[in-house]
Amino acid sequence: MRARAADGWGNGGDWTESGPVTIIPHLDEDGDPIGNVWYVHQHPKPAGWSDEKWAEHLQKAGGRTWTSAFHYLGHAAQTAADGDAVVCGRGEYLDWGPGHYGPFRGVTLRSVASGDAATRAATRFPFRTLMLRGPRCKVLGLTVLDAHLVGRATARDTAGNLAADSYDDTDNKLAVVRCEGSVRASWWGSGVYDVEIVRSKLTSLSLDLGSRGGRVKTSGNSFTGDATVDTYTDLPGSVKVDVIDNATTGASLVVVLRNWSSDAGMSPGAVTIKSSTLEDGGISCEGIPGPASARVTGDEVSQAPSYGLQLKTLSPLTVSDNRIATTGERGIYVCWCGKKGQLGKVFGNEVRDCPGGGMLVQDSWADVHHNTLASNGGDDVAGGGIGVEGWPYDLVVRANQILDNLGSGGGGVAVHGSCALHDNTIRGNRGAQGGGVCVGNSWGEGELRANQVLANQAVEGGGVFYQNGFWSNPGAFCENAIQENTADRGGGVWVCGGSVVRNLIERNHARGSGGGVYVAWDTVTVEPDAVVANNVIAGNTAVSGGGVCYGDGFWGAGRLDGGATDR
Amino acid sequence: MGSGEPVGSTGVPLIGNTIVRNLADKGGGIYLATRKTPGGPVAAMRNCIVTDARRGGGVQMEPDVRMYLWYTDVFANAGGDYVGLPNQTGLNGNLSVNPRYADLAGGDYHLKSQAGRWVPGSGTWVKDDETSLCIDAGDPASPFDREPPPNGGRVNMGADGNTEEASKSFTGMMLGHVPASGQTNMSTKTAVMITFRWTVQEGSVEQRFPLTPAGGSPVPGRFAWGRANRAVTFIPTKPLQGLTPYTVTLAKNVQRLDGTVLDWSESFSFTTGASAFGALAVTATAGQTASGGAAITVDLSSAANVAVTVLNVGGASWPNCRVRSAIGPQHSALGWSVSSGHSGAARSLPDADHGPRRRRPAEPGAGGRQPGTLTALEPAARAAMGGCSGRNPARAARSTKWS
Repeated sequence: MRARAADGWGNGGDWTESGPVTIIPHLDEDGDPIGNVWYVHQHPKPAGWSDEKWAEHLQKAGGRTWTSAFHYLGHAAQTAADGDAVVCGRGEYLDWGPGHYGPFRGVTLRSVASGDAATRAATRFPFRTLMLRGPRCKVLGLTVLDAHLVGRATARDTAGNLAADSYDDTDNKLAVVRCEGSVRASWWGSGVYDVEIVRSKLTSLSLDLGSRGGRVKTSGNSFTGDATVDTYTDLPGSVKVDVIDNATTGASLVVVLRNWSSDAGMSPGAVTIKSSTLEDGGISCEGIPGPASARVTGDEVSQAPSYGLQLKTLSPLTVSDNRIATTGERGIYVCWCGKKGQLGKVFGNEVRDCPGGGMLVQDSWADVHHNTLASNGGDDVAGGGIGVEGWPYDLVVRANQILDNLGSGGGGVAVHGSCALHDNTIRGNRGAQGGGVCVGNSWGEGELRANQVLANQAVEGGGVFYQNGFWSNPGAFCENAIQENTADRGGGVWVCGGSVVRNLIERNHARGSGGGVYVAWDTVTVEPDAVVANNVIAGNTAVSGGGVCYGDGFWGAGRLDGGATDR
Repeated sequence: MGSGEPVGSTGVPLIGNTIVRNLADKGGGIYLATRKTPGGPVAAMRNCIVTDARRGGGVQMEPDVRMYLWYTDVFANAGGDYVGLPNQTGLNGNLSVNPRYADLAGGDYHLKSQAGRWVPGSGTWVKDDETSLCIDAGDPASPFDREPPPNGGRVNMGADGNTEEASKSFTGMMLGHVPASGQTNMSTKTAVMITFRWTVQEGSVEQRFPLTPAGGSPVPGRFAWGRANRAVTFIPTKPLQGLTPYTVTLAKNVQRLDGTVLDWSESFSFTTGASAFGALAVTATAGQTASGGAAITVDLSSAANVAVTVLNVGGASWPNCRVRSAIGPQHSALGWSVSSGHSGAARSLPDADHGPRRRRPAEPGAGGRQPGTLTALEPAARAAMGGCSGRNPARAARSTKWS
């Protein structure tokens, strides 16, 4: 460790706020000197001086306002060697003129009291480019306008905009601890990285990391602007991103793991987003093009203007125990996730009061179970509780509570594609077509089995609107309890072209026709040998056809107005 | 209405549904609305049970709609079973009988069966004291392979037809018996004949065969065996009491010749008339035959060797009336009446004019017909009459009470 004699002011003197720069040894834990500490201090603006007069004075003095030998911080920092610390007193530091400060290798730049917020606020550096480079570069307890931290750097208890850019092939490391401001890093090379952003209050976070891979951890932070982690790699599974216990207000968490390998199926890495709280923002996680591994669990998201959780091209995927409320779009959006034999797991989530709908699962292999989807959706939403689209995916929706949602087609559930929908409780939902469930224009293999469809309302198909287009397995709509639903036509079931088998259709009501079942007969039957068979159709009421009514097909989608019925 | 398979139908057919206790202004059970689309399809229903509509009738359709109805029980619907279409009872296997739900009020619509009925939620089967006539009454061409054995080789009507929860087909040890269950006005000199489903050990039957009057002791008598131990006749040693209900019981543990022990009991009851000749009971049911004549059942089971002539009001013989068993001229003075508004008188005719005096042999598997039954119905129509006198003897056997 080199020691630098920087001026003629002597060593080891006590530093006072108005005194000269003092050099004191910087000791390690054993008391051995490991470097020097360089103090720089700027006289404060004299009392009674106006800003204009002070500025004029500074200009005339050519910046020489320092009482220390180091009239400029830059001089001190340049003088300091690897392992030295430059301690800065309170004040508004002058810019060092055009150009860059640094790079300063291995220098710790800190305020006189690094943990003190008041000191940090009063120690401001207006430098546009303060560059610290080296394995032990640190910025501690300062306020900086822009600090570029290159190489392996640490910022702790620092306020300002921190940037770390690197375009060489070295390994990079960045630790941001208890900082305020923004953090941006752009690293492109063949090295690996290790980024840790912890317990900071940031206006934004942007990490653009293209390399052989590495690790990113953000935990215990709060964000008022978007936090984005965007990685590129060509090595399978080489990226690991943990976003844990963060909080945002008006901001989203975005993690994108990209794979630039020619192998489109290659997983670029793994993401964990856990126990974060987001207000006015959502979580987005995506693998491009290969599926990244993702685990999103225990988060709370409210009032996101778009999706609460947006999850794309992820496998294996676990989305569990999140609480989502009042998002503008779907509470949870799962798209292109999972793969055959490796279903994405979506369970234990609670999605409430999202006018864009509770959940949308699109073109995914997924097992969606034991979620609560309540009071979501709107007049124009297909599947107020949950919408399912896609083919030919193994998609299971089971044992969910789908309650009091609203949709255009499918107040509770809308299925357009392949889906096994079973053992769900679908209650109190409202929709124009299919108050509980709307199965329309589906294809592949599907199943609507053993659900309890209770007290839903619609224009057509109070319990279930079933227009089976192309499900290849006959008898897929079976063994459900469809009770106490209400509609204009088909209080329990509105069916066209598909089979309805072994259901209990009980105590439903139609304001018009088909209290239990409305069978539309003037549209094309697609399912061969479709039947309404082996059902118990009991205790239903209607104006015509209390149990069953055969009648014309589409009367128009209509709208469901109000919540009350004339039952 | 049509009787053939629908052609070009795109309406999803109803098959094997139980439609019960529904309510509407029109078509409490099922309503077929007027088509808005010209040339639209027809509806079809098979193996269904439509009962107990609370208002609006069972099946109602508008005039421009076609419907095919097969093997369906339509029964006890408030407002009528059929509205806007002719009564289909007796046609194409359609019935109008009480389906004997397990618990109508409680919403358990499984069909009662002496052989076994599934109890929802318990995972068990129970045996009832009666068997629904809707069991094994579905379309013979419909699959039944999912029904648990014994399934009778024919699908049940209703929601449980051809499912694992289908009520089991009753195959009692008695294939048939005389007198029939519930028969009245039996001669006090009547014998009791039972045909068994299997060959049985004589002793195991005779030890378990009490013929008992209400409140009395078993009647003494002797047994006459025939048909390779598949039929037995019990001949009381003295006349039975007049105007008295009797119960015949086969107690449990009758043994088949192969050693199988039949661990259940079966019984049936009949009532004697005032004398050895009993009494003549004449009933007629209008509109049951395709030829337009009335069907008449004359209960002559206690009066052998008697001739009868049936005349309409104008004095001409009913053309499609066939005498299965004749009564002798000595009983023609008893007189009789026809309940459908016709009246007539029996008069003695030479035996040669009215068919053979011998009894008609029992039909295989039918347990024998009731002696003295006079009917003009064709078999299909007779079967369709369900619980009436012209019902299928095989069905009658199923109503035998168990204990």
